[in-house]
Amino acid sequence: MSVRPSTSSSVPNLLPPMSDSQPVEILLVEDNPQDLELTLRALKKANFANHIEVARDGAEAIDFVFCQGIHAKRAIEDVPRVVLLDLKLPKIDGLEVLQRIKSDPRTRRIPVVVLTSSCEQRDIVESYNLGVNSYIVKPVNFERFASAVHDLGLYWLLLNQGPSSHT
Amino acid sequence: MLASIGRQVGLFSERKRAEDEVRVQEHLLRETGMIAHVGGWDLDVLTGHGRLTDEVYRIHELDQDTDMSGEMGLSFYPGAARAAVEAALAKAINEGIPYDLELPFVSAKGTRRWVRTIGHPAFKGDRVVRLRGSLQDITERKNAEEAIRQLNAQLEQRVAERTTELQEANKELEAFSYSVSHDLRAPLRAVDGFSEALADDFGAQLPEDARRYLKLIRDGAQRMGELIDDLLTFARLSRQSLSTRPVDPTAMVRDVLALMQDELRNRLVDFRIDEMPIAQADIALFRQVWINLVSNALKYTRRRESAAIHVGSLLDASGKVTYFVRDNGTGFDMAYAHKLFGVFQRLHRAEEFEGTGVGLAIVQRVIHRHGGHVWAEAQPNVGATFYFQLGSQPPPPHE
Repeated sequence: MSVRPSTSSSVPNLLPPMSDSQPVEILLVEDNPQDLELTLRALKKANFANHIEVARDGAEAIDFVFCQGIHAKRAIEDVPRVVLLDLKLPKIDGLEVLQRIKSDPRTRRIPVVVLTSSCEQRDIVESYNLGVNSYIVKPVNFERFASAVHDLGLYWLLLNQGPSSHT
Repeated sequence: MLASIGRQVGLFSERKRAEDEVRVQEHLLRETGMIAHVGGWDLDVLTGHGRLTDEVYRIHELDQDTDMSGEMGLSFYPGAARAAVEAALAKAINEGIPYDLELPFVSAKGTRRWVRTIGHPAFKGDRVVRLRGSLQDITERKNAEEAIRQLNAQLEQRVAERTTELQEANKELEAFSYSVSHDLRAPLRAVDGFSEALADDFGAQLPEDARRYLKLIRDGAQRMGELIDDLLTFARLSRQSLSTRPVDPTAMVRDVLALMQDELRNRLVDFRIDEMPIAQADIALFRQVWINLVSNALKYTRRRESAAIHVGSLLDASGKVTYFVRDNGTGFDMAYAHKLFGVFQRLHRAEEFEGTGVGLAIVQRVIHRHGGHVWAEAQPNVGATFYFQLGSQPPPPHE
């Protein structure tokens, strides 16, 4: 598994950066360093994903998806196969990232799975209003968390049939 | 000669009797007028000559026999009231329409009063020749009405203030539970996750005690997660609005039991559900009550070879329904019954029976919000019965 963490990261660099030609399977948007490390650990345990892109806040996530800023060289058709999105993010928050992805015809087919601590109804309702594909509340217990991540990967990367990204 | 004198005397005493009778009547009327603060008046429309009873003078605070002209009479009514009286008088005299008005009044000595003035025209043919009426001092009644109006306004004010306070408190509670649900869980996840990572990656190299410590750390994090969840549920139940409708408790308990199949597997449980009368309750909250009571019954009968749980209801003479959940489990000492429903209060050791101690607090909160009450009876090692009644006046739906 290769991981390309974004610029400022306290997460250990697991592998040298990959070339841009490798398709991104998972865009993981997470600001909390401990949660990030645990999620990556869980993904590794589940043997999923060859290429995970990490965004540490909403702005980085938008830059990646819409090929802006440091990701200007990316092609917008190279959509990730799934976005794992935390809600409480600095700069641009999770719901706004969700809204932007789901309202742009070029990106709205990307499955977005909200992975968050919040079990508040208003967050859940608002996420579904904006077109989220799935809403998962991060359990406190790591085993259950790892199991949830495993199930997520299994479902979105193997089981679920998405549209082909190039028409 | 004697006969005519006799007749004169007879006539005389008859006349005396009549005069006495008139005097008595007059006296009665005067007394009545004084007690009721009602005076009478009479106006000859053609001559303009008026007669007033004593009470009318008293209300005006004028000496008896003060000559009262029409103009003078009107002068006791301030501002718009005067125009109203003038108009009413004109209508009565010209069109023969009676009036009955309640108006502000200022006496000759400047006393502010309220009066009720009534006028009835008397006709000769189709002409109004007399106007008769009454004047009543209604100041006391008017003052009482004003006082009530003020009190009501104050009450409205106070209710509005309290409502705002409550809304503020609710909003704060909502913000608080929102931040709890998110911000407290993340560090807990770190504690649990990295202890697990430690055990996973390095467990083989660790002595027995170290691995045990790690497990205790994870158990602690786990437990704290449960406590947070339960507290949040409790807080949410307190502020959630109640929306009551008819509910079938029997069907609901059957559904709840179906949820607990995992618990029932591999156990011998004799679960009896009586047919219970329809209740008026909030569906989701009522379900939570049954979930908590039934799961408690299942939990505390775990040590019994054969558990017996009975859910049903009792009807008393006044038609009041008491629901109950009875089990033959471990029971509790009635000396601690008053602690049963406290938040985080437990009557058993954690290693004997797991739990956060919020379940019954939630039950009590919900029952209280329905205007009812809940209580329990038990004997250690024999069993326990939890009873509850919903309010006799169920709260109106969509409270």
